[in-house]
Amino acid sequence: MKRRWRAWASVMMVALITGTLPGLARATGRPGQRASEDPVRILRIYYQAPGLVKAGEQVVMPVHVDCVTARGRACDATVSLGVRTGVGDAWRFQTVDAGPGLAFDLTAPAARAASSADQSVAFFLQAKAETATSSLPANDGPPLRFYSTRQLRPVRVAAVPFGRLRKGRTVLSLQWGSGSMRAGLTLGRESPTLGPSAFDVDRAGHVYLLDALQGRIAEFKRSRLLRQRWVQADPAADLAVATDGTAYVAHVHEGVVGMTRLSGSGRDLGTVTLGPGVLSQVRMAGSAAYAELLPLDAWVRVPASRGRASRLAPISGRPLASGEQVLRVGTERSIRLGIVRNGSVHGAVELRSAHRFGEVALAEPDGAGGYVVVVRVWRWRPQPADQFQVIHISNGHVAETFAVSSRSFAEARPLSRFRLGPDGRLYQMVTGPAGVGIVRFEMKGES
Amino acid sequence: MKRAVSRAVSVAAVVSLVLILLGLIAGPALASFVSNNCHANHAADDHHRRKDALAYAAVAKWEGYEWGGGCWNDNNRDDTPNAPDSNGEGPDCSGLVFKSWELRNPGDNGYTWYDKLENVHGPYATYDYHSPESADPFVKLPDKSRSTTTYMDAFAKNGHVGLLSNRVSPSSNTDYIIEARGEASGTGEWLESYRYDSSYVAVKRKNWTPDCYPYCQMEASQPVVVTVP
Repeated sequence: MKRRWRAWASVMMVALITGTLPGLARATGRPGQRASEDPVRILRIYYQAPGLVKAGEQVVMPVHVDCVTARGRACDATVSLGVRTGVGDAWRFQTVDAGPGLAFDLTAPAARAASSADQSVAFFLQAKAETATSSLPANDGPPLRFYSTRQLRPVRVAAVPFGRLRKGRTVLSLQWGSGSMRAGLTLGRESPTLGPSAFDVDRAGHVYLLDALQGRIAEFKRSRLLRQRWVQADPAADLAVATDGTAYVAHVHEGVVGMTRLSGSGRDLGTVTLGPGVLSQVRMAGSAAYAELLPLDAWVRVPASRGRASRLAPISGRPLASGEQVLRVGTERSIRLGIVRNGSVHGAVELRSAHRFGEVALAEPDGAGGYVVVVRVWRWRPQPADQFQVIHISNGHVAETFAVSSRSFAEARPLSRFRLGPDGRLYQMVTGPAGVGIVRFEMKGES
Repeated sequence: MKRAVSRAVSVAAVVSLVLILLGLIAGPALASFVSNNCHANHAADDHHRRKDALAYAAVAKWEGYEWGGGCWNDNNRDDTPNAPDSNGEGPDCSGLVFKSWELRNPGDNGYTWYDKLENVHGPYATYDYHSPESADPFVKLPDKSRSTTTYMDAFAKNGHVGLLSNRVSPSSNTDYIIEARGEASGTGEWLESYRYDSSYVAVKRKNWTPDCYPYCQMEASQPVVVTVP
């Protein structure tokens, strides 16, 4: 017995000395030698969607291709553009080196589209580098599309002086902290400060707050907690709630966009993977959820299935329950909006202002043929300043405009700060050192 | 005598066993991602283009976040999730910019390439990127408009800094930003509106090598516009 014990102890000592124990092997491990080849590892296309153009104007679409090898080096790629105007037209292809500053001039196809039946230009992009290929949209899917119109009504938006802000009415206020009546916060340390990432509002005015740091969706009625649903999501997740109470939580994990559905009672209805990319936003249209994905820069319908979604058809504009789409194209100088109905553009407007535009935080139809837009306006001189400007467009004119604060304590998703409720009121998520709040604005002659 | 030696050997064996068991228990706790994976490997570089910086930053995507950190691999996942201050995987936001831009100490605009697996953060915090001094190898841009900035410039405030991923913008007029976003999010690429937030400034590395290098004589470095008939 003693001899066996001694022998076993000796073996362990030898193992200790030679470092053959599994834990020690991990501690001293080094990455293995790389293969001599340096294949393409990342190939991704980014493009600036024309979205909605005016017949006769110059249409330039910048394209940028990320090409990275397994060793992390930049590599060369080519990019092909396929374009088709109208159903009977043939596809036209152009292939060029994907160098810095590349752009495609689509003026001619846009001009043809304006006089065609469906007023759209179909296109796709494909990048190649060695044996790697990347396409927008994904291979064998329906093409992307932009619309060309002869009627784009200019609308001048009065510039609200910086600092002249409407306050609105606070309908929910939660202090930072843990617990059902507090909201999760993580203070930034060489990183942004993060709080609730998104919210939604239903027909009854109930507020749904996506408090990812506490792993929950909390439903409130006039500051009273009605119920909580538990969900695992990253602090950059987005939220849309259907009329039946089903919650859609869009999230990104390791670069892949996914959508988790939760029933009104909190039952997990499954997660569907929408593919690699950057999440822009998620919205409901009737009983269906749609996600705006990047760099596709288009909407896709979220399938009811679980697992990996196959063949997602890109939709250029924000889908509506009526089957129409809302087109939205923001730049620093203008915002273009239009409704696509039966393939042609209606009610197209171009907003301009003395202020420079920032992100288009919200662009929704008002239900009466107009639009409600929230856009950040900003200046750099003489002193940096920015605020959100709410613009209600009706019959091609500005029916109402006012400014609201853009100050925030915690970073929020750019397109999740505002919601136009089914009650026609505008809601904003605001944060300060004390906590998070939801503020409501009436759209006609409020406070 | 024999008995005394035998007892001594037995005691030594028991003590060794206890030490080994303690080592097995304590070992994984003491070991960290950095101690297991990271090592010094850097070299002076004679040029650094924006596209090199983008390629470097792209590898860091989805590799985790560590405050004060600067070591990551390329397996597209956070190997130390929910483990703050553990010498874990990933950079923090200012460390990501330092390594992607191949920066050196103040007063030196040259380039040093660091292996992704070298745990280095560099001397600059977000405050420095937000308020650069004249000796720093980066400079504040005169404004933040799209005509002034280009890809691999940074948007910085006191507390956070992120890299502009490319030169196109989505139709929502936002930006693609590569950034280390914190322990819960890791490092990756997100849609942001830092450009229009007054608390952020735009910052540019000094002394970029043109993207056309080393073929600038033969290739046009100007934007290429291809006309589609």
